[in-house]
Amino acid sequence: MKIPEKLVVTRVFDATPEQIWACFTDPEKLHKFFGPKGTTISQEELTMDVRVGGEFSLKMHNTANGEIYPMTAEYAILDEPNKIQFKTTGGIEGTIEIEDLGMDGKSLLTWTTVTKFDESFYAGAVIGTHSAIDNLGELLAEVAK
Amino acid sequence: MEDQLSKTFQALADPTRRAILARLSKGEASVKELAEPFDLSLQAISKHVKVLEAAGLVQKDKQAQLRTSTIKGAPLKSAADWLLGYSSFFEDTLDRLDEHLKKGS
Repeated sequence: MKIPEKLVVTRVFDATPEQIWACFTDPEKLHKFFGPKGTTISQEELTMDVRVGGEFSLKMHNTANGEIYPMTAEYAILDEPNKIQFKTTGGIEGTIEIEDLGMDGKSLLTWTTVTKFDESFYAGAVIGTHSAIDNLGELLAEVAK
Repeated sequence: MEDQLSKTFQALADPTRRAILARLSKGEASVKELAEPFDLSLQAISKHVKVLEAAGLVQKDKQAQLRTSTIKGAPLKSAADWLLGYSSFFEDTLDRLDEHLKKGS
C-alpha cells in the first residue's frame, strides 16, 4: 500500500500573518522555537536559503542525552505571508498555512505534514500517531503487567 | 533506515501481527492457540510469528514440545517513545512559537 498519510495541526495565535511568517523565515527567530521542547538549534547549524528550491536544514540537539536530529529540506512554496511548503530528503512534505482571522490580529496556523513512505504502517505510525500510540500504549500496559 | 525502529514498524504493519502481539501480551501461546481467533491456516500464523521473531518482538520458547512464543517488550517501548517524540514535535514547536510571539519580538 502506498497511501500518502497526513497529519494536520492547527493553532490560533495572537499575531498577524506577517509576524508568524517572519518567525518561520528569519533564522534569528526560527532557531528559538523550532523543534520539540528540550532541543536546541544553533544558528551555525541552521541554513535557510528562503527561496523556492533553496535549502532549509538544521540540527536539533537533545539537551538531555546529546542526541542530534538533523533535518534537510528544500523550500517548495513561499507565498508571503500565507504559505510555506518544504520537502525533506526523508520524503516528508511540510506545509504551513497562515490565515488572517480578521479579528484583533489573530491568525490561524495550519501545519500539514504528508509522508510518502512505502511501508504503510511506517506512514501510519508517523502520522496516525494518536491511534498508534493508543494501540502501543495498550500493548505496553499489558506487557508491563 | 534498516534500524530496529524500522524493523519494529514493518513488523507492526500487519493487523494480524498486531493481534498476535496483543494476544502474546497476555501470556505465552502456541501457534495453535494464536490461530484460534483467525480464519487463517496454522502455516499463515506461523509465518506471521516468524516475521515478529525476526524483528525481535517475539521470542520462541526453547522448552521444545510446547513451542510457545513470548512477547519482548523493549522494541515496542522504543517504538512508543519514538512516536510520542514525533507527535510532540509540532505541538511543542507551536507552543514555543506562541511563547516567542508573546515576548514580542
